[in-house]
Amino acid sequence: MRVRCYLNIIGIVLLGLGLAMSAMGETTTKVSLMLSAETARPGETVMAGVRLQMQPKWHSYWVNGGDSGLPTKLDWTLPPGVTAGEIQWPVPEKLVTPPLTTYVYQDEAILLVPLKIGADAAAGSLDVKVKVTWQECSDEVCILGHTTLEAKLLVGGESKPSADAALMAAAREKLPKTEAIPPISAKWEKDDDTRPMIIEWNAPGK
Amino acid sequence: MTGVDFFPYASDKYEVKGETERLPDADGKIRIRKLVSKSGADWPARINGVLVSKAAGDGAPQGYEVNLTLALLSAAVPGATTRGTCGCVFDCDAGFCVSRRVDIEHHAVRVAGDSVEGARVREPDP
Repeated sequence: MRVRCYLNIIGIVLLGLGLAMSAMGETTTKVSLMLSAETARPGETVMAGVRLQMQPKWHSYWVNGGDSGLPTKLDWTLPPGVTAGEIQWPVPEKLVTPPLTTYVYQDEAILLVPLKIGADAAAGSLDVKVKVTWQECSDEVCILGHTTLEAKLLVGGESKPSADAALMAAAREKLPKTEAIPPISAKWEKDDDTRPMIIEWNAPGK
Repeated sequence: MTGVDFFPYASDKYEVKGETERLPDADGKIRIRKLVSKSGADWPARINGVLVSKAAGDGAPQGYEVNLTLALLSAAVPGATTRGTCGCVFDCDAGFCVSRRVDIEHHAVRVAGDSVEGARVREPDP
């Protein structure tokens, strides 16, 4: 009886291992880390950008993946005095593959994260490190990928934008706006197990 | 404007379904219908997400971060009674509500599945 129990456990472990390996296949997405500044002063905020470049027919996921799909996760390793803020997610696309609806990025997405440099940060070179875990899917398969990326930031007496600053400024334009939002209202339409919600807002120019 | 939608942020208390129904514009307003299901006992009073509009052509979609505040449904439920302000309640029938003055004792009430801080109604003495 006890031997059968052990065999069952071993079987479950092997099955789980097999599933995990199939989910950790070879990824196709190119992932890179960029910083908005080459040099920054203590007390400033530098933007970090994690750029995901998907192959054609592949996508990664928004913070809400929808009916399936895992959002990209970032785990930072930062020097003392530097803190990372929340991920700022660009507006995704809606992908409908009945019966599933997901919110995805195709082609490319740059996830922006503010890095706050402490006012008392010492001058010198800082190592910024992030572990990126993402899910990429095609029509047929999903793969969980992860990689660790590093960048260097100089803290000194001046601010100097990096070569990626323009790309990151363009990425900022793809974030949802938090200002100049059109007047919007929402209401429940009727009571039901699943409630219809009506959202309405002013059409542009009206 | 060719495409409008609402992309919800995830919540463990409710789910906004993916399908979006575009309704006819009314009074110069763009209108869409989304279906919501709840996981807990109460319907959400707020739903956060991104309002998305896409103009004709290849332009990038424009997103707006929005926090939708949803009024309780009770005022539109036929036969429901809910609290108004300053000692008034609304009796609702077929979507229309009529206010009347009452005395109020404070209690939590549950109306049409919404848990609200409300009032128990006591009719005034004749």
